[in-house]
Amino acid sequence: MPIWGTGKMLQVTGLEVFYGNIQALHGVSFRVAAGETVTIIGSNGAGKSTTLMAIAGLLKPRKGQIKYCGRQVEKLSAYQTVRLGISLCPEGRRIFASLSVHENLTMGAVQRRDRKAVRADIDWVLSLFPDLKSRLEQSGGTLSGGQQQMLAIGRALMSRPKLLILDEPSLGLAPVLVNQIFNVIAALKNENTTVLLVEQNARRALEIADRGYVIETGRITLEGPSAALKNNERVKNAYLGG
Amino acid sequence: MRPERRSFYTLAAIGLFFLGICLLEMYGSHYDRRVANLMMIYVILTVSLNLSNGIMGISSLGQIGFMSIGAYVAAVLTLPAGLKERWLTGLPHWLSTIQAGLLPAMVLAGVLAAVVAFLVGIVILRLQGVFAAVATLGFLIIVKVIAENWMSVTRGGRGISALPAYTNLWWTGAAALVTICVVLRIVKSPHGRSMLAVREHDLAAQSIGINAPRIRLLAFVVSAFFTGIAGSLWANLIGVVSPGSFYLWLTLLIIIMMVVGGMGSVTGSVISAAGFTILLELLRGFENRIAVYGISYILFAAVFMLVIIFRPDGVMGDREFSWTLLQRAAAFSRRKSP
Repeated sequence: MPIWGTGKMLQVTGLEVFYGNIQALHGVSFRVAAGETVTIIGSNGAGKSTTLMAIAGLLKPRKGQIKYCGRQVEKLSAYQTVRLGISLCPEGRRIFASLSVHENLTMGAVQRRDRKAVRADIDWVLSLFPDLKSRLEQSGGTLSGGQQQMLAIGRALMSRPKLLILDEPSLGLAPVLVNQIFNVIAALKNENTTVLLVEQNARRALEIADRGYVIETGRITLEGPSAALKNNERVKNAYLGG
Repeated sequence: MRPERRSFYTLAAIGLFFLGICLLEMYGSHYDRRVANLMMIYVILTVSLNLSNGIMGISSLGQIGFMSIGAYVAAVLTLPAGLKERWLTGLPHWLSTIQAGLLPAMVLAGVLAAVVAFLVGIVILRLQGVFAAVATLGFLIIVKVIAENWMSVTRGGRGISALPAYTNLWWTGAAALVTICVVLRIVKSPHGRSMLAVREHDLAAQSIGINAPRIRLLAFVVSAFFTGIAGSLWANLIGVVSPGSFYLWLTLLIIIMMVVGGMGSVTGSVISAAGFTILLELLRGFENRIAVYGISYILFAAVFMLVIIFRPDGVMGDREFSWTLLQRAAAFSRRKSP
């Protein structure tokens, strides 16, 4: 297990995000070290997705800092953060339905010019998700929910991120598929990809993550190693079903 | 089909197209040529509208504003110098003593429309859907109001007349061809893919690193460029520009042409613009014969509604013509017929 605080990859401090006049985040702070898998758990509307979108540059925070690999990135747009190696796999899959599986994966590498390496990475993604292999020419819209989620993660991996951010990857999937997705996250973890994972399925998330944070109505209320959070009474009652 | 074969067919088709223009220019009546010219201008307008509204998915109602800008630029440039000094007193001296030819007028019309689109786009393209539609409609109204009131440059509501009839089929045909080629080229390029991605899922497209505002602006500006050129061709075809010419009727007409052809299909836009030009002329003839004036517009609207009901994706959907497609269709019909 990595030692926390060394090789800080992402450091979020006092993040405040507003939707119009409504404040969604009230000073969220957390950190992710290189090679770590960190999870943020919380209920609907707690601010999980908002936090991720602010990191990826899809939302601009009103206050607070996001430091990534020693750089301030809170004012950057998404296309710039992707260039720096942050890749967000958004909630609800959002694959390009009219494009084929292969084209969806290629789109994930839209900023890369090294075509040879892109082709090699498509093979790598297909080795992670063998289900997609036989469907390369099929259009994305004809895939099942689980396959679409795999495609979405695969597409996010195509930019060769240093930090992979997954927003609710198991949402709405059958248990078998949830297992598959989490197996892939475990495989990525073994390859030393840094993963920031947001999940409703807190039990699974805490099983796979090194550390976790609990977010409630826009504030981080608990943090610690996954094992400790799993045994925390409050977490048990609120998120693990007693 | 082999690539050499495909490019041979494409070149042959372009050759035939210009042969047709040649024949029309030599033997066609004044009326034939006018209809053909209008057809080419509508093709340019519809294809470039399709780039911004269909392929890129911007809900713009202001397209004809760029045509108006292009038409006025061409009018100011190509009006004979003597008339300019009398009518357009607000022009700087160097501009009122020259009379430009069609080519410089076209290029400048396109460039100025594109520059305006760039400035307007930076502001308006932050909006989406209905909000973008309302804002671009506002732009169209602003252009019209300026054209009506800037007396010393546009001559206000009287419009600028006596423009030289430079436009002929060679110009409109070539401009239409260039528009089609450039837009097709963009669609097939990585930019085209990015446009499709942004149209389908803005957020997802941004999260994989597509600069969505920039790609939207690109489509909007390129589209305005060709629309401006269409305006300049129109000005030197009709011979008159006035604020009312470039307003809601044309806006509606090209939107209908685009929707019926298929939003996202350049081929569809070409077919539909050509078809509607002919349909409108036929209906006009019919209207004159039975002497019920205005009925052609009602019939025109009825055709539009029928297409929307029975083929909501338009004639082509978002597919494009290709020689392979034609070959397949031919093989299919051969198999069926015996």
